[in-house]
Amino acid sequence: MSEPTDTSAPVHAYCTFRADQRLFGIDVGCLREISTNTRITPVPPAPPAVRGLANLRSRVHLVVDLRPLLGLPAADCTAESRLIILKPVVEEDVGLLVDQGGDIIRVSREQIESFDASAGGRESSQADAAGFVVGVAKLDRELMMIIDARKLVDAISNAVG
Amino acid sequence: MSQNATASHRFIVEAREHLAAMSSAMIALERNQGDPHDVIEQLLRAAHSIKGGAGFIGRRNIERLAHAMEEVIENVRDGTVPRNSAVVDTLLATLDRIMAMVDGLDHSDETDISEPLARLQPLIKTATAHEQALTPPCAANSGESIAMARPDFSLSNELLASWQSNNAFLYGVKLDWFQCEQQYGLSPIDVTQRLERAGSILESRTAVSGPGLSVGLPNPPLWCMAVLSSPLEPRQFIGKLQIPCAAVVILREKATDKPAAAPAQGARARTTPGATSMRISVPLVDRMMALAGELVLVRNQALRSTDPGNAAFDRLLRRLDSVTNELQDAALRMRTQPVGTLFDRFPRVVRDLARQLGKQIEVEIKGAEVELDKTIIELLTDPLTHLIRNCCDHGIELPNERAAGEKPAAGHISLSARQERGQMVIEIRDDGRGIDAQAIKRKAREQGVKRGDELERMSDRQVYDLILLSGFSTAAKVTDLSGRGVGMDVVKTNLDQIGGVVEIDSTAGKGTVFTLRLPLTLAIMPCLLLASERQGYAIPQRDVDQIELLDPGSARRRVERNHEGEVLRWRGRLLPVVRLREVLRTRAPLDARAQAEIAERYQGDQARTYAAVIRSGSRRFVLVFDEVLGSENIVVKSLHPLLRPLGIYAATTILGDGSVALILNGEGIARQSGIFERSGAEDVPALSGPTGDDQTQPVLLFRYGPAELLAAPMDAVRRVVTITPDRIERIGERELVNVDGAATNIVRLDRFLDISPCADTGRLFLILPRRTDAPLGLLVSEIVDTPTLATQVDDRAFKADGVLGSAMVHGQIVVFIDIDRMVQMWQQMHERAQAALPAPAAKKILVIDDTQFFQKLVAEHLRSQNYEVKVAGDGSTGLAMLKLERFDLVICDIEMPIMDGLTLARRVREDPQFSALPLLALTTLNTPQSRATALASGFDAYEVKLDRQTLLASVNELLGRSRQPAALSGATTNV
Repeated sequence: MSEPTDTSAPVHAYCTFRADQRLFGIDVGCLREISTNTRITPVPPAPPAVRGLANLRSRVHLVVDLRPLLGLPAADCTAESRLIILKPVVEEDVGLLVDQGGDIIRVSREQIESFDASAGGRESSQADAAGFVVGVAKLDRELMMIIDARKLVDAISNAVG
Repeated sequence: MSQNATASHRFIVEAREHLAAMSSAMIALERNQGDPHDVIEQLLRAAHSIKGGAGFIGRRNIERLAHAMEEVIENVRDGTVPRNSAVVDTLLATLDRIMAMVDGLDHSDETDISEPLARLQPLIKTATAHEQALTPPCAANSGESIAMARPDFSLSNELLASWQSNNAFLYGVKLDWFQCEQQYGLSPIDVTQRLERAGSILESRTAVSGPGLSVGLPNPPLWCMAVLSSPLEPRQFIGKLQIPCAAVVILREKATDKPAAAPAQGARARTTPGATSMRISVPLVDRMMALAGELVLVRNQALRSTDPGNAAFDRLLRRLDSVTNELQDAALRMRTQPVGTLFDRFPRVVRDLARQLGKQIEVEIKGAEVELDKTIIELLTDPLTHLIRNCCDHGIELPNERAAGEKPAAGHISLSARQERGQMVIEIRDDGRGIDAQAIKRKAREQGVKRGDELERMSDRQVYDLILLSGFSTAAKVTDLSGRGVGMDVVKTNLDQIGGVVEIDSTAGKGTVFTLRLPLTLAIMPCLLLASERQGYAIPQRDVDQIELLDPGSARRRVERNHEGEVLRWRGRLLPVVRLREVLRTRAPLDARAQAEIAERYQGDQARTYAAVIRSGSRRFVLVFDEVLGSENIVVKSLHPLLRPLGIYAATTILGDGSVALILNGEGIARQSGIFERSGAEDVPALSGPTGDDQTQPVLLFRYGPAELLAAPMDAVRRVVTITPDRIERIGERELVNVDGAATNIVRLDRFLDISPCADTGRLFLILPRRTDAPLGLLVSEIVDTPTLATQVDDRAFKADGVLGSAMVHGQIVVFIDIDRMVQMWQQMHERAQAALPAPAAKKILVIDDTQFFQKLVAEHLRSQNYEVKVAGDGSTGLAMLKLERFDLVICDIEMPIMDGLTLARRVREDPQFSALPLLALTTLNTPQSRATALASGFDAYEVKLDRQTLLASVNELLGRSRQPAALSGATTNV
């Protein structure tokens, strides 16, 4: 595995998922697995970004909710909800709760543009504030926001602490 | 290469242990503590091990130094070198040198050791001359001889059998007949006589190596190898032998009855012979522990998904259940170490500090054998070192100050470890000047840590706790606070990590006591499961003093208000109340205003809630929550680091259904809720502190029937297990339940005592008594509490056989049960029931053999002769069956796992109720010795397997001889 967040490589594989209808992508190199387990124990009074704790293969994982990180209201888990589990090297035992899982897609560098150069609007400024959406990929049908895993971890630490 | 690395690593680990043990042993020697002979022997063994290990991995410098040290110690033992501080100093310095070399093992041979060797040299020399006069030249070093090795001697079983291991060494002697004759003029007869004078010759042989080819040249050696048994110590043996050219080797040490351990406590576990222990890498143990933990989860999941109809599966599950329990237990025990491994270093630390400070300080160590999780021991090292240094530096006064205070010149620090209420308690007690509470208050006010009025309300204990605050302690000046508090936050930080607490108590001019309370293990914790707003949480059982249902309607069991907030009456005090629901609602600590607001909101609240009295360090508070879900032994998993700042959680766990639950941190909750800022937070009186009442003892409070609250002293209880009523099996009059794979008899209290019958709850408990081997347990419907009480049992109100008396506990009358007497009464009743049965037509024989083949063969054979036969697979099962059933004869194998035949026979003969029970040994061993041993152990007859006719004859004879049924005699002797 080369640099996991190296967006300068000509073609890069991203794992896609959705939150609030919008498409996000994260470098597959940063992920360990995608889990359908959404049995989550809440951890009051942690901030909303902390969705709770889940048991994945007998290890307790911290589940972080992507929606509050993007400034969106939390939503109930559905059959479509997924946990995106980060690789331990990125952050130990952390999963990201998303509304819907997607595919692995390959994106070339030409398709990617830095985030602030493209779409504006409420949600983007929120995401920008969170700092982990580092760019946007212009796919055929829609735009995919690219999440930097390490910056995501920083955002999580900020939101939790 | 990697093998080398492993060997080196092993050597380092071992050498460190040996060096630590040596250091304390030397100090013990200097202080004249314990039997000096034992201490010296321990030192010699350790030095020798280091020497051997270093030699093995080729570290010559360490080997040389260890060897030199060994020689000096030998001289100390022989009295040629005095036992004084100067010598001990030299030895300790050498020890440090070796330790440094062990730490930098790879470069150890590059360092120059001439200086330490030179220091040791004069201590070695004095004796060499002396020694030469005493011992023959080729055996200069007892037990270590040139040109020979143990493999020269092969020890047959027969030979070993003829050796009285209890009081004799086994020596191997090798000599050259020619050399004896030609050089020393000793004829073979002289040599033999001398050998016999030194010990008894068990075996001797001469190695004849064919005709000498070199006529005219000196003869090649004609080796004589002899094995001798002798009660003499090696040095005396060689002295007695008086054959200068004989090489002597110790083949077997004398087995002594007393344990080899020297007074340096804690060394005991490590100095026991190696055959029964081995080294395992810690990561491997941890992995096994983790796997055992996983297995517990799998078991729990399996238990929950079981279909009650499937009997076969049910049996399997029960088996899984008991195996899992045992595995977990064993894995847990693998992680433990005697706390002495940690304590051992302190005499040295104190000695050096005392010398540095010009003080006289004695250290006393108690309870070094108590075992504790290795991880905890590691985390304790720094806090304990810190506390001990603190005691030396600031607690103990200079000799002249002490004299002025009419104290003995030498200060005293005692370090003790004990188990109490499933916790480890470590106490560091000094008789120094104590802590000045006023000085701390002054400092706290100056630094703005607390307001003046807050400080005024604080008890001394609460004031002492201030020195544990990090900001407070680092800023405190040594002189201002008698130095106490410098770096004390380190103590608290480390203890927090392992869920331990520290309590400080002090009397000005008299001394200070630091009490550390720690969990015994970090891995598995009995927890109470509770719910708040339908979400489950766990709280460690050890933090919970009591749980009760609150009834807002009643006058007594309800939350009340005082000027500061909510309180609950408990044992004559007002404890502050924390509502879990509220703590879980906000992240900001609750200030006085928020507490008042909460109290206002719940005014007149009619909801049914539970209250748990939580112990947090030296204080208590009441936690109010919605529901009790039960209790479970849970495998503790760490809390995600990002969640630690919340403070109210200690860890997490995975429950039997696979869901995650959070483990609450009582201390954190108290902090978060701000209750300890209130004046109502009470100190928990020290259970057995300096002013503690020695009359207190832990008591188990339980219920059988709904009417009575019963109690029993904890010391009569081995364990309490949970059972479900549907697992009880009835066999005739008896009720049995499987506990850890053993069929256990259920004792119902209402059959012996005039009390209400057992309440029918879905879950029952079995109290397993401590002082009996009989597989039985007392049935109990509810475990209420395990308080430590000053028990003043009144034996007038309740007078009945099996009752100790009654007492008031928490305002209720409690009947104290005599568990030991209950066991006796049940056994007698059972025996009477057995005896009352009509005598069976056939005689009953118990066949105990671990080989199923023989078991069946013998059983079938006897059955064909109209005997009633039962079988058991090992001695202990057999013994248990004997206690339950009447047998006319026991036929027993000798070689069996768990409990062999000889032990069984001895155990049977020890019990008066079996004095007349005929025992027949049936074995494959057929030597006069084994026959004699069997008969000496209590067997009546000895038969060899496969000889059917003589077996039958023997059985017939023994049964004819048996005078009366064994159980009847038991019933009378037992009363």
